[in-house]
Amino acid sequence: MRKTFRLTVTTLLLALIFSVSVAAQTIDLYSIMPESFAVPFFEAFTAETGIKINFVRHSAGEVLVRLIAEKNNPRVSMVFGGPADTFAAAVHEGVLESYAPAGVEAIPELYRDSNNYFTGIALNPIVFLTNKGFLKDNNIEAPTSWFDLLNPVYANGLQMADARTSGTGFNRIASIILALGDEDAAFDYMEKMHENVQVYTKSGGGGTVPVATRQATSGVFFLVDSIETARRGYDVEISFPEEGSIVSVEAMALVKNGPNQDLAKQFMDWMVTPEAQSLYAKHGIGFLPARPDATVSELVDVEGALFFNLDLDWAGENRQRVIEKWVDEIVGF
Amino acid sequence: MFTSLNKSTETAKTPRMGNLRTHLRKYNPTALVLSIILWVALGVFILYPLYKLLNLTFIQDGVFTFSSITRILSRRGNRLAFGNSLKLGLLVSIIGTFIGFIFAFTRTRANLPKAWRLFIDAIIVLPLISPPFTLALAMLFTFGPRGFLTYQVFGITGSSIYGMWSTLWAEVLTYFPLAYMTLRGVLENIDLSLEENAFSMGGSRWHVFRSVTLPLAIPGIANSLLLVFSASLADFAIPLVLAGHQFPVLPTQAYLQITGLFDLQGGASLSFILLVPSILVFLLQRYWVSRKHYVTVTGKSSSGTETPLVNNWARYTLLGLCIAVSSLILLLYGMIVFGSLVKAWGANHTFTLENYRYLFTHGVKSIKDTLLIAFTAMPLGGLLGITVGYLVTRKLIPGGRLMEFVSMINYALPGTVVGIAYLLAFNDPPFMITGTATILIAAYVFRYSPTGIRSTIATLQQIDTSIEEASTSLGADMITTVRKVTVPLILPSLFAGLEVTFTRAMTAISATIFLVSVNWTLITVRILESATELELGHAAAFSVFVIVMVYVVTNGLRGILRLLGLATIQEKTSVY
Repeated sequence: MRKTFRLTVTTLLLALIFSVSVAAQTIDLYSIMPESFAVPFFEAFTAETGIKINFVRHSAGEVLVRLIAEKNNPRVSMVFGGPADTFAAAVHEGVLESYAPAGVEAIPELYRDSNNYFTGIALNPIVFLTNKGFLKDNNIEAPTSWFDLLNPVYANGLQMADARTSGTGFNRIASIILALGDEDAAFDYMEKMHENVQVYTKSGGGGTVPVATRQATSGVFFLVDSIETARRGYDVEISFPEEGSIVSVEAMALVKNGPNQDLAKQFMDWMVTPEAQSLYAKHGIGFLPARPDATVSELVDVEGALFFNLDLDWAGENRQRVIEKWVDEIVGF
Repeated sequence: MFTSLNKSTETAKTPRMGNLRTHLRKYNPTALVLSIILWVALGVFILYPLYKLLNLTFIQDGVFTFSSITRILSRRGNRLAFGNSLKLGLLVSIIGTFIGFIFAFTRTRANLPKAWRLFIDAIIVLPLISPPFTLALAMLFTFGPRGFLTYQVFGITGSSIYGMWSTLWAEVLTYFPLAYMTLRGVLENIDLSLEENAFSMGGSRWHVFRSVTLPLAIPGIANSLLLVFSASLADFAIPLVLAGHQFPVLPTQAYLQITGLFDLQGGASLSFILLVPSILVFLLQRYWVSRKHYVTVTGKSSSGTETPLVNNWARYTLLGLCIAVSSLILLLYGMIVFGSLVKAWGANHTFTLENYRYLFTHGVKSIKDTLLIAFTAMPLGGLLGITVGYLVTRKLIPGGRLMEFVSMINYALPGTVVGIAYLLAFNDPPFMITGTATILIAAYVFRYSPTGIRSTIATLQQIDTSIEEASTSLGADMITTVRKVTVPLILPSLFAGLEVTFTRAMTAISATIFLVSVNWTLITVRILESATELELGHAAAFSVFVIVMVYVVTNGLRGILRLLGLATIQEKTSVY
């Protein structure tokens, strides 16, 4: 038994030793941006400065929960990517620190917080994604209006994000409210569209695989997920609603009292440079750069599309209410 | 894993305050020191996080209140989720136990050739070691509107994959092996001569089955029902992918409340609501069903013996049913392997090894982390299991029953609840361990060691203390007795504990999704990320790796036991 005990203690000690992290010249961050999009930026920054970036990728909600739980002892220096309304919620929770990256003026004011709590790094509009085989078999064109989705041909075929779990879902509802002019019209519309919905998915891009593989026919997604689906060789078509949709701002922010803040600031400065902003195009990532003067990928063809900006004050005040109304009136419970 | 083949232990007499010192003197000092260490560990890693969770749920501005519970229950979706969880659990446990019984009965009574028995045993562990999400994805590609079986084989269009029925069948396929393992142990331990006697006295096959075999298996069936019920109640990954929006269940609702509505308190409250039936089922199983085992262990294995109970017609029917279910499992897992070898699962089926190249380049860190954590948690979980089990059964310490109960709490709780409780408890002093490997190891050790505890208790209760007493009276001290006598007896339990802790550390996600960090990440979390990022090939390749790894390690462990000349615990009782 003593042997057992000794072994237990030794193993516990070993576990403790393993768990001490090495912190020199590294930035720890939470990435809401999917790994495959975020890594090219981290690698380019490390190549230029020698500063290593450790990250873990989580959905926006998970990151926010962690920032709140870790408020007294922040584990990371910054948050990378993710829709601006999540950042607005984080500001409200008091977990972010204001920082204006050097050269931030190059990013339009619309795409950053007025108090510099967060800075836009990319733009990501809401679009339609439809299976091409399905379009061909039914001899129809890809939807170009919100009302096209009411066509009975889409019955039990649409997939889109559940507003309770995904920022994509809330951005879609907000898009419809802005596109149709007011909330009542939007909810009338959504009630009709609901009849064609197969499932509201837990994650924003959760419906892209079913649409790509024709388990579903069409859906409402962020542009970046849609372009990624096409880029992976799935037979899909991206289209835009003529009534318009929201362009979501992907942001970054400094975590209050986080470790190695100086290094994180250096990374944030770098993120707004034209070189960094042009990496989306270079790596075929379906985001629009936040800097108007940066190179735009040829994959991202948004010619003629109408986009709105999400009013973050309105979003902050109405998010909970609109989502609960959507749950009560559209989903039904 | 809770299958205990024995009578319940007697409660230790409660000491009176006055003679505490004399009372304690009865106990061995080594055991007392050990028990203090164990209580500290259980306090820190089980009771403290639970306290933090209850605190968040019930205390508002320093006042005790039910308001967060009433707020959560005022929403119809949450009440629906509660009902759905219970309904789903009930159906899954009934169907799962039924299928498990058929498999166990076929395995033990149908006089199968050895090759068939090995085949069944190899297939049936697959669902237990599969990483989450991938199976649900395989279901989508098999049964979806354009699924392999629904569309390509049967030509059904417009089938719906989301909702109660698909969730139900996915959970049945995942958890019926639990029922199988429980029932196989029970059926094997029914003395075949009882059936033979009944048969030779003129009873028909059906009559013997109904009046002898079935009644003797009833406690096992009840146990299996409860086991599968609680597994379904806590399941997170399958409903997340397959339940859709019309069939909310509690574990996913709790997760969504937190990640979607940024409502930590609401999530904690939902977790608490889920906690109530989980604890109830656990208590029912522990203190009611486990007392009703009449089976005696003779040490004789009955499998392979000729039994008159099954005629040829019944044998082929049973075998046919088992082959049908096994083929379905093989098909689903074949889909995963297929998905890991093609360019775009579901659309472009060009052969590629790209996904495995990714696995062994970009995936290396998570593989290293996971293996390190799993191999550290494995011995700790195994040791914790046999230590608690030994101290409790041999009544070496005061309050053993309480210790046993406390050590089971994290197992009885749904993973999401444990994860959130750990997140709440371990980011502030005095225990600042979020972001380390320690928190992940602790989560696995304290959540999965109960397997070893139960298995140790079950084993020890069948071994007469007189063997150990004989050793002591011949002059050996406690440590020598333990080393020379007890250790060889409980070694199979240790290995069972090792096996389960390792398997879970490789595959579980619900508890650890909130605990991974920039320095420590896990393969299962990478699978979830890959699946949400459309990297289905990566998700499939990671899954194949996990399955192979778990197969290799568990079979390695069993091989070591066999080399030591000891029977694996699986041959006597179920461990999962």
